[in-house]
Amino acid sequence: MRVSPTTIKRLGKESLGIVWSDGHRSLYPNRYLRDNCPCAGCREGKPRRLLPVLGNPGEIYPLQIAVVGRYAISIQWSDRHDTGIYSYDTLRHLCPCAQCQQTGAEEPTT
Amino acid sequence: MITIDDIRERLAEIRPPGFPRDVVALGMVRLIDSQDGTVTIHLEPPAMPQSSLNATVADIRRAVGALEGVKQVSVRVPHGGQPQGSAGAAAFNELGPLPGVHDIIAVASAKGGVGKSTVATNLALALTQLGRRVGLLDCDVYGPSLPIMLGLSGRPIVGENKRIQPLERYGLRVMSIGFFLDDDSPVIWRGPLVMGLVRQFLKDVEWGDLDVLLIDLPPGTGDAQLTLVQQVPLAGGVVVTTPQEVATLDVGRGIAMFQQVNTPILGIVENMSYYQCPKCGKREDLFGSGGGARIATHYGVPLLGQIPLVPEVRSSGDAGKPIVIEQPDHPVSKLFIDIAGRVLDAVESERGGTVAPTIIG
Repeated sequence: MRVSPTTIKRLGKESLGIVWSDGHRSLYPNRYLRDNCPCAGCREGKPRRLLPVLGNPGEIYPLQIAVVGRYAISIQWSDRHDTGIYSYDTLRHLCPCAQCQQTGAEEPTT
Repeated sequence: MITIDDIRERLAEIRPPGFPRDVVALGMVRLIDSQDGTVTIHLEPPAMPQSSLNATVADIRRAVGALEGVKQVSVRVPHGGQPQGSAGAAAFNELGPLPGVHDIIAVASAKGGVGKSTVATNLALALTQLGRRVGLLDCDVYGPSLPIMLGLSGRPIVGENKRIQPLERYGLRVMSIGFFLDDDSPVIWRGPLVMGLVRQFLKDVEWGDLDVLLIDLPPGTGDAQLTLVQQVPLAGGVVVTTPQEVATLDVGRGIAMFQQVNTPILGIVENMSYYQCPKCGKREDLFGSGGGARIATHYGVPLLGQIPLVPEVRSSGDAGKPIVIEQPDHPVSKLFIDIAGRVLDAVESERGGTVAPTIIG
């Protein structure tokens, strides 16, 4: 069974928190998530945006979060960008905590 | 006293998201009317996502409303001339679970011509014989075959609640794009149209209370499949294949797609497994053998059953009376009933795997 989020919480305009089915907790700065938007327009086949999205901390935050099927969420950002579908695998891979970054799980292809 | 030029000046400071120029320079502003502090602005926007348009309208309201002496701002966008929402914006209208529909099961094959619709139809009818309330949705937009297989024609009616009433046959509730087309008119559709249709068939059809909604997908791993897995949480997918190597290769892709979107594979149905000579009873493996079993083992999913190639399956389908109905005692009909039972078991054992997350804040 793959891990999936049980709770997703918007923590003010600064960050997004996820509690996972295996008990792990992830804390994502909103800017970091936006910069790592997995949509085709942002990625152009590269691991992340070439240029970071401009804006001060607290200026980029999710307006809407929706569940996509049973594998992902989509986020509409305050800069009106809304094409990114963040699969649970991608989100877990993006977890910025030291433990996850060290393990360096293979990036999923979805 | 506020002048039209003041308003225009203020509008020239507003730039729609993603556009290099302001609304005046873009020629979006058609008419500005100002009377006793009430400002009406008529827009003719270029094609832009609905979200951008909404943001622009909000910006205009705020900016013009802040001008001294303005009491009310009304922004008019021509009806029907409104640009379509972007594909991304559409992603925010996920349907989620369908009210009244317990389990949604997709019948898929990554390759065409393996008898997916035949399997889907007979499987749906077998499920009704097991006492389930079943809907059958034909999402094969390019080659809808359910109308013929079930002997159904005529257009579904739209009820007073503006919802499409499915047609009924043999206790099944059925919807297909085929009901809306002339027999020889081709369906030449781009992806977004296919996605829209799949959404509408899920959302705007009065399915009522169903235990199972079975969805007959077109072959491949394209727009219809992706839309489906993104719009509704599927209980699982049934994959149809023939035993031969080229078919099983593609089926691997179909299985991989379901796995990527975290949808359980309930199992594999091997169709056209063998041919049994009606005269001598000799079994002939026309398309080779063991393909379904091989792929089931490879991906660790159950082989739900093997359907032999018998003329009655084809002829009953063409006659609009599938074999499960026409000859309930036929060995193949019994195979379909067995498969239906295994599908229901698989749904139960997969239940509760991934639960949708709670979103707070």
